[in-house]
Amino acid sequence: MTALSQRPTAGADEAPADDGGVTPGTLGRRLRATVLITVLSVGLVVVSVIAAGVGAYPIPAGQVAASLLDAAGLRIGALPDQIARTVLWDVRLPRVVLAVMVGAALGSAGAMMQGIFGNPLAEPGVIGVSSGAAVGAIVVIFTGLTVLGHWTIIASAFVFGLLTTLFVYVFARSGGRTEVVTLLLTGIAVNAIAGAAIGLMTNFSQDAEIQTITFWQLGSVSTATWSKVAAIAPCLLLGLSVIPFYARKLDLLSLGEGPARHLGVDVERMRLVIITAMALLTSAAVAFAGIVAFVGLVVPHIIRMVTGPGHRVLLPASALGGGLLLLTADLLARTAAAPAEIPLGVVTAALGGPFFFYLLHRTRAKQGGWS
Amino acid sequence: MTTGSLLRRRFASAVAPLTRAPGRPEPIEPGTPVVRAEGVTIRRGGRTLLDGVDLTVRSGELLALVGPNGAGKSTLLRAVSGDVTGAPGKGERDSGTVRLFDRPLGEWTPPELALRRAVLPQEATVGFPFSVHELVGMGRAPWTGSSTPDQDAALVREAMARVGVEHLADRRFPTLSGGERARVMLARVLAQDTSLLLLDEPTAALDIRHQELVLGIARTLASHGGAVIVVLHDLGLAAAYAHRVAVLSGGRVAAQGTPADVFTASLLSAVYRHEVEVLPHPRTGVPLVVPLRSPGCTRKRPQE
Repeated sequence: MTALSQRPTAGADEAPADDGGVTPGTLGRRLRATVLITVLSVGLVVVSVIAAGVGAYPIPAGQVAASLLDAAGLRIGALPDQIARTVLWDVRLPRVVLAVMVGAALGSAGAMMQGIFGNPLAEPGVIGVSSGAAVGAIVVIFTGLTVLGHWTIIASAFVFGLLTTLFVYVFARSGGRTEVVTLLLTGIAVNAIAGAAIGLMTNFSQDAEIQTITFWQLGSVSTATWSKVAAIAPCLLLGLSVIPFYARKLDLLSLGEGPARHLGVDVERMRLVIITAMALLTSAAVAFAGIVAFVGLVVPHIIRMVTGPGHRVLLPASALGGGLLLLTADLLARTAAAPAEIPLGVVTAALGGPFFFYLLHRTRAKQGGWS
Repeated sequence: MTTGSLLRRRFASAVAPLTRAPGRPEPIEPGTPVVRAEGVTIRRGGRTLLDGVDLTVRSGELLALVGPNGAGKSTLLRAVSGDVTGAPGKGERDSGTVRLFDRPLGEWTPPELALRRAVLPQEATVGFPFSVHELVGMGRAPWTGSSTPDQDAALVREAMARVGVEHLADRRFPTLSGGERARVMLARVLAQDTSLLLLDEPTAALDIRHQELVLGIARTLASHGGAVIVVLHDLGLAAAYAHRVAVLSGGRVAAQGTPADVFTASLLSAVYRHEVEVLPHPRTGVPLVVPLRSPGCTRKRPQE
């Protein structure tokens, strides 16, 4: 436990005050959850405004804010000039919004996946769901299918992502539990197969397609447009809409499937709903931003460290935190080596890889590693 | 029942006509059969785990399931809780019926059952480092919408107090000792506040004081109108606390009845395939079961 939620030491004489069942611990936790959600929301807005101003054509944050408020019908402060407005509304804002949405999708999908696997190491990139969805996306690019317009890639990524999730789930589970080693090895195998499929298609692609495919493998939100935002938004909302219904039940699932059922959870239905939501979120993110690894791993872990593992806070906070992380990473990707751009997936992997090492180290020090 | 749950019941019955509360448990008359298993047969992988087991447990009763390893105690408990895993193999068929509260097990939905029976599994694992307070609170999940947060908090506190884990409320589960974990899980089951409890070896990880405490709680719940089935290895505990015992052997019920009737040297020696003696306690008369040991073990040690 950390400093905020300290309570009288075990067996101390002072009896807990009769305060309606709220122990200092729960109060601290509730307070922290509120603070965390507030900080993340405010941070998201502030960083969005800053990020929308930063770039080759700088726009002061005040003008960005004024232009946003103007769009909402409020006239406060100096508006940006015509060029700045075009840059802001046609280039920067779609990119900012797309980054936030992709991050929110990946962060919440990671938290859901860890909950449903009962395993803190499950992550769309690590267990191969992102690669699976990428195969779906690349198949569409490779074959040039456009049956459903913008939705073709999403639909194909979704089908492949869902199938991969189901495969990993069935394959890595036995007796109602998922062993860490089995899960990670399954991920290695799935990533290898997906890598082979992607490599094969790359090999037989034209130059233009190869560039698009490389984009998918490295991850990026640089080609953001409002129509892409409009396509990902319903997927994100649909995926996030399961949170209020299943957050508490995911808590119960951490006791195991049997105990969750004994507490009244229809485990089969929950599994189906969560896996579908998770695949939808991951595939939507992959379809528009390619493989952006580790967001779903890093964000829920940090949030658990702050507020504990309860999913009612973890899931929404992971969505907010994922959005904030990806927005910041994208800002870094396009400013660190300006005018050149670093692929977004490279930035998140560079941040996430060391974090993974840290988790490994911490777990080994604490309990001798994952077994 | 306890004051808290009594209050809750009274409140609940007062507002029952006003609230949407489908399938809420009705009060049960003492002595009504709560669990009725008939001819339960379960085969897996060529082995007969249970072979035509009949078992009835009434409200107000604590029934202990005893028997050697592999006799089918846990399988029977799983059959009653609806948790038998795996499908029967080729040519194998499960048969028999289990009725809970006079309705076939399969006709209950999980939410309905969760208001009526709680299950304590043998091993306690938790996927994420929840605090003790949060874990015990999970026992209140089935009642969401039909009890107030204050009532939930009171029941959680009461459950933690009964098993003596209040001082651990803010500790994370992985930091607890084996005995503490077992008691926390029991507190969660108690917080569920059901009239049927299924406990699979609740005392395995506990010291003498806590063994007595836990079975004392189970016995109290039973004498207040609950029904408890508990799998036990310690025959002494079974003899002291159970109203009735069922001795399982090779997937069949070898005997059932009061401990005094069932715990005989000949039956237990045959079932456990080890000579045992059964002696009445000099003061209370409760049967004491003592395995016969080779002279080397019981010989008086030389005085030092």
